[in-house]
Amino acid sequence: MSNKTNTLKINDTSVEFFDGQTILEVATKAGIYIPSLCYIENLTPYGGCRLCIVKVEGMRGYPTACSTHAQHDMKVITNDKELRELRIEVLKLILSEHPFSCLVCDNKGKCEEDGRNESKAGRSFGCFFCSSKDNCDLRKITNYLELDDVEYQLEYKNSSLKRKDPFIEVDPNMCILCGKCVRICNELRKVGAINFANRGHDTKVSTAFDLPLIDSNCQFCGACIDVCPTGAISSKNTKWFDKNSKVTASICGFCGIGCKFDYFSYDEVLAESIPNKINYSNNKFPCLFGRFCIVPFNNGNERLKYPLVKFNNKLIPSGWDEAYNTIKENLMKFRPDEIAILASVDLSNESAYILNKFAKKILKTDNITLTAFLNNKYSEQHLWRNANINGVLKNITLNNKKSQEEIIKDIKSGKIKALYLTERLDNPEIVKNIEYLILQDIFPSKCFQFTDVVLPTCTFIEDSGTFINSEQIPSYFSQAALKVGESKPDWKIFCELATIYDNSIESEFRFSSADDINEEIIKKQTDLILHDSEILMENFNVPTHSFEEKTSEFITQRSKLELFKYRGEPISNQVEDLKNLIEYRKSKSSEEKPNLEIKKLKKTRFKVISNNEIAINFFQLVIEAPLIASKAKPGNFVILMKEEISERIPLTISDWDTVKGTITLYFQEAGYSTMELTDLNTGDYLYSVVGPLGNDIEIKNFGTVLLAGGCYGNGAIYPIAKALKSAGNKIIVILEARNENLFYLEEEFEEISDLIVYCTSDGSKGLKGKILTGLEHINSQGLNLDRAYFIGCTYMMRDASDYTKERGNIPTFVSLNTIMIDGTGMCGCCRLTLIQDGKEITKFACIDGPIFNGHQIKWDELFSRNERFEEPEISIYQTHSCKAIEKFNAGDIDE
Amino acid sequence: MNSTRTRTIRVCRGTGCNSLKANPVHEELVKLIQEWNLTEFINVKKTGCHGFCQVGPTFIIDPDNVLYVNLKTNDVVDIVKHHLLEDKIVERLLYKDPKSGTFIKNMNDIQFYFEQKPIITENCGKINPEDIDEYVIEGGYDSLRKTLKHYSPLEVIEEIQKSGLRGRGGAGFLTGQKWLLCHEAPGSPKYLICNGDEGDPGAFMDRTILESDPHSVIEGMLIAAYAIGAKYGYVYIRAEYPLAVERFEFAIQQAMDAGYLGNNILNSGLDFNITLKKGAGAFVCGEETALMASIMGKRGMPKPRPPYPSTSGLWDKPTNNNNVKTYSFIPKIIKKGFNWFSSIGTHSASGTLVVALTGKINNSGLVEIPMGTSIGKIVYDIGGGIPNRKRFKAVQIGGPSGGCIPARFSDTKMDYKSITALGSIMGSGGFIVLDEDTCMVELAHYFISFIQKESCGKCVPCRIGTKRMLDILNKIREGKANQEDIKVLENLAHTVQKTSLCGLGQTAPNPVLTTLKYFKNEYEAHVLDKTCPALVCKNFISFLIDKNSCTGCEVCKTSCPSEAISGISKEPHYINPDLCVRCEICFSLCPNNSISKVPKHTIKE
Repeated sequence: MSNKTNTLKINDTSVEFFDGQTILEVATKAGIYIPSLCYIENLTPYGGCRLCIVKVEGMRGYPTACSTHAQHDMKVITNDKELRELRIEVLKLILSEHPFSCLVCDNKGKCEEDGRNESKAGRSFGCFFCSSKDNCDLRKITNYLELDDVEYQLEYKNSSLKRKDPFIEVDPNMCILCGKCVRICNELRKVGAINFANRGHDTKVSTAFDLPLIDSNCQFCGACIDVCPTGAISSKNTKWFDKNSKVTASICGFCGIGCKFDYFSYDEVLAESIPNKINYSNNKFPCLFGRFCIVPFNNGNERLKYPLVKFNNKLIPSGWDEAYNTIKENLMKFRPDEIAILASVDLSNESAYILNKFAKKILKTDNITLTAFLNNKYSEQHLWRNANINGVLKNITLNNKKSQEEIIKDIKSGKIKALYLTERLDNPEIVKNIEYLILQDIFPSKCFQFTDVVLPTCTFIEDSGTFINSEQIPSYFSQAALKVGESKPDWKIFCELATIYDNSIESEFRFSSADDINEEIIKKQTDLILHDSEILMENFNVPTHSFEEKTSEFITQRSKLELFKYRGEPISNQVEDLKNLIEYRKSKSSEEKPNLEIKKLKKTRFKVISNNEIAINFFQLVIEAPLIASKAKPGNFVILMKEEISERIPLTISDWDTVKGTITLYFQEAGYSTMELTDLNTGDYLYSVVGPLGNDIEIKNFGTVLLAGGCYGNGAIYPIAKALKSAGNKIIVILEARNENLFYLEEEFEEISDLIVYCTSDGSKGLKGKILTGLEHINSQGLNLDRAYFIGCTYMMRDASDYTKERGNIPTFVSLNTIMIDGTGMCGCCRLTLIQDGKEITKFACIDGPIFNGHQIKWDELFSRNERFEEPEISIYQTHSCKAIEKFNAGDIDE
Repeated sequence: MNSTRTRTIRVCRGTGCNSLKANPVHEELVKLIQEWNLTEFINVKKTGCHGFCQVGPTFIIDPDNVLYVNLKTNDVVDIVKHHLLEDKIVERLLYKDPKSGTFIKNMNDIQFYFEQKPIITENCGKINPEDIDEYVIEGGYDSLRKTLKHYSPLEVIEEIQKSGLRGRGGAGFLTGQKWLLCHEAPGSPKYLICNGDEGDPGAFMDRTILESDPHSVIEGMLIAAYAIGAKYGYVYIRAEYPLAVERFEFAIQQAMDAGYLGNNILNSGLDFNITLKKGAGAFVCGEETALMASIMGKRGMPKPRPPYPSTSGLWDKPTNNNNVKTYSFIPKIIKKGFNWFSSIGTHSASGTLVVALTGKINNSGLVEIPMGTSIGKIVYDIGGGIPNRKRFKAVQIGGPSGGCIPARFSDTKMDYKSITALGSIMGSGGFIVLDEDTCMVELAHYFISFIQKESCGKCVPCRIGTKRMLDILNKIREGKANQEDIKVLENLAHTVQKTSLCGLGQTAPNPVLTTLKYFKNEYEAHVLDKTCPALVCKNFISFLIDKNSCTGCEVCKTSCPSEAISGISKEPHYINPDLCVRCEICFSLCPNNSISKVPKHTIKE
């Protein structure tokens, strides 16, 4: 391949290129956009999506830009009427098998203005049921081609979701078979866990024999997720973050490779770590630790948040100053040569430098070494993966007169009486004879029993600084999330402690950031003795050459997954999916049947009779609850809990059978708690069902009544409609959804309604449009309404209420699904404001509602209240449990 | 016994005759010859197919030139007794001309044969395909010797170029041109592929050649290998052709033993080896890039071209890929010269064409005719016309990728240009004759559903576009479509044609487009009048029992799966149209032909 530049003409513009470049590459470089869904830079061209078709003079048909090599003097047309029309036709075909209501909905601009949050649904189906709306390639191309109608009926394949694997969740119904995941897995990662199976219309991406990923060769690197253009493959525990949230470019600090990552944060809380796109073309291989473990590890519920000081043999939370002073007081009791410091290999260069300075200038001791040297069990492999062994060793041996071996010998022989640990020891027994022990760590550990002071510190996510990676090159990491509790970066703790210890040399420890420290290190660089290869090779057989070719090899050391630690804490301790993966593979390799324990729910009075997905993401749950059934009235709801530690979920009682003693509830999977409900099977038991709650609805003959339901509201308006019908009213029903696949109870509604209007965003059934379109339709028929009920999402209810207010102030009632907790009006979580006669009145949805006059509600407040738990709603997927309840169980919170 | 003359009996043991139970017939013959001590005089020879599959199993008795047809085991004794011993032709077992109704004694007088011009099928049915010597006796491997001795590689290519031979796989690219590209392409080693993944419904040309004359293919490949400089060859045969696979494997072994394959072939310094690769049943693997992926052990999915295989094929090396028939032509051209070859056929399409004649036709089978023979001649003369006095409606040429040509174009000559001009493609030689009972919507539906299932799933237009076309065709068949749907269908067909990745998708809409072009009235009848003119589509037909001819035998009543038929024994029966599921069982079983298909609306009135 020569580097001679050639030129070709794209749309009459001359563009230079190199031999071997494709038309798509040349055009992209020249800033000419050609739509494409299946192209991945540097991988074999695929040519499957057919969107990058172009015209080339002298070539037959429509070659694809991704696969056709540029040639000198070629004349290319990338966009004209014919190409645009063909692309639209192809795109329509793609959309005919991929939920598209969100792309062609007339209302999409308005929804976006409202800033709606996603319903965290199981099946992606439309914009707010989809985790990848913000980076949806189909959306970009639909906008580019200005497509606003698809004449085909959506063929929703309705395949079951694959959500049992660790880390990765697959919704095959979203797949457009662009083959990116297959190619990245086979060509770049060379894992080959997935490929195409079947032919024709049955083609799908699958593992061999359609086994779960955990039984395949999958290494859970997540590369497939990051190339998927539609959200068919997604990160199970972290997918519901806002893709437009704050991004910080940094590195993964779990090992010495230091893969580049982009960290996304929501409200300063870490939400997702995604390998930097450049990683995919430079042959680096970010692994499951970086892709999936950083977030749950960093956000772990048990993270240390406050300094702890031993008092009456018990570690109790205290302030920093108190902790510092205690340390100073106690350390003063020892001679300098009786004090030693053990440095963690996960410290940054800056922290290690300051720690060394602290040892030499403050404690005046040469006893500083690596914790790793004391941990006999440290295997070499374990160590050479660690983030900054090179850097830490380099810094702590700076100006050190005592050899590492001597220090270790002193500690073991009991010469050392006070010890400052910057990470826990694998075997705390080693330090049981130490008289005074300081531990600077991020998670609690067995070491606590011998510890006198615990100092909470930061991870590489919450700090900035440098590591020396395994190629001996400094790599920089930046703070990507807020610190946890009152924890502080290591260097800061050392500096502050130094200042308190000896104020006279305060200037030597006066740094405002890691950058300042780094500057000083660079100035003193000449003094640094480079131990690197010799010491490392001798003691730990640590290779110091380039890691590139080694990388993929040690990622696949599956059996060693449990050995990977950060600050001494096994990563699997904090990452439930990783723990499961390790246990599953262990049991598999021992040739025993994997003992996957199915959680048996405790037997209660509330037996599940049936639980079926009756429409996409909508479930019909029938429960045995004779007492509730005998008391239920239209408009009532129940609060149910799946397990003792589950969230309480308010659900409208849609139907009840006093003879059988059952109640029927409809729920939509919209978050973690409702996701848990989808697992319920016939014969399971619910921990508790409380009800009937809420006020009854007034049922009498009003005349003509409109009942409109949107999404989950369809189930909720049904009992009201039924009761009003038997009271002699004329019943008009509007059912609204994105697509016909989301309707349910249609037959029941047809039976009781005098007029029924369907509205769908994509026009697949009834009118194309939303609730307002339906209302306009009713209005145009000249029907006078005496009363109206709306139950659906807050947006639908607001829009509808505004409409009925404008059109003759029709009495309008809405059902408010605010956040409820106790259902008795005591907690106040479901508080809302009504405006009656210009006065603001506080009401509680659980006891005053749930039905309210739609014209009196202060909607803006309601919106903001509904959004206030957005962060915990996202983070519960990462940690799989409620922080408050775990703490309560651990006794951290007093009753 | 003195009348016993020395004779050879050729027993066709092609797949067609085998499936018609030629094996027991063959065994019976061998047994009788032995029992009657005729082994001295009678040579029983197992051959490949000579094309006339309609009438199998067959014996051809040489030198009498008598063809016995439709043989059963108990017929054999008559032939041995009367023909072999008494020298009397067994008339009842002869071929009966469908037009004149006379039995034909000399097989050369059978129109099916005398209208043909066999070149590559010359040996088929004549020699034993499992005996290399028989091939050699017929002049086999002479062309290879001639090539190695007298021609340089470029001279071979020139010879082929001058002959005007076009690839017989379907696209009709000039073979000499293709060889030259591969010859000139840099890179080594070079590969040779013989594409025997014949998957079109109703086509069996390649199978016949592979089963009946495998050495002609090997010889053709050897000459091609010499011309382009290839060392390795692959023959890709679909696994559904077990006999072809078996015979070809045998032929490769024999050729190796005889020194025609291996190293330093015929002391010329030419090294060439052939590997047989069995296809795993995917139609798309007939497409060359998919076929190569399959050979390389990958999923059979096509790749965008360029790069073409001649520069970057198997393992990214220059690769020449030709159809079975194309290779089979090569030894003949070398033997008789390019002038001889180009004098056959038309100016733009030289040589002969092998056609698999099937469908609603009297003489179905394999025929080889000069290029340019008219459709009418194939249907009426060679094919013997349409059975049951039905009307000839159309012919589907080129399999699922081809198109439907209506009867009014009977004068059209079979060559690349004329057929393409009518919206079809020559394809590899499928020729399905349709009569008036064929519904064109149903036909289009059949081919689209075939393509739909066989699409590799890679590109959007082929995977989803054909599914959407199928949806619309289903709507039309079920009477749920409107005129707008026909427009969408046509538009969709053009999109699929223009934007598909490989030839499979690009030609997939041809059956729809040609039927829409020539039989739009039938589509409209389905959509507007809700009728099916050919009385095929179930939603538009009803079954009616003729009261006058029904004898009340109750055959229909007892066989009806939906209990739709009622009536008392010995009295006319009645079909309840609401219960009838239109399974056609009664229609096919009625001994008096009293049941007829009628348009649905006639019943209601």
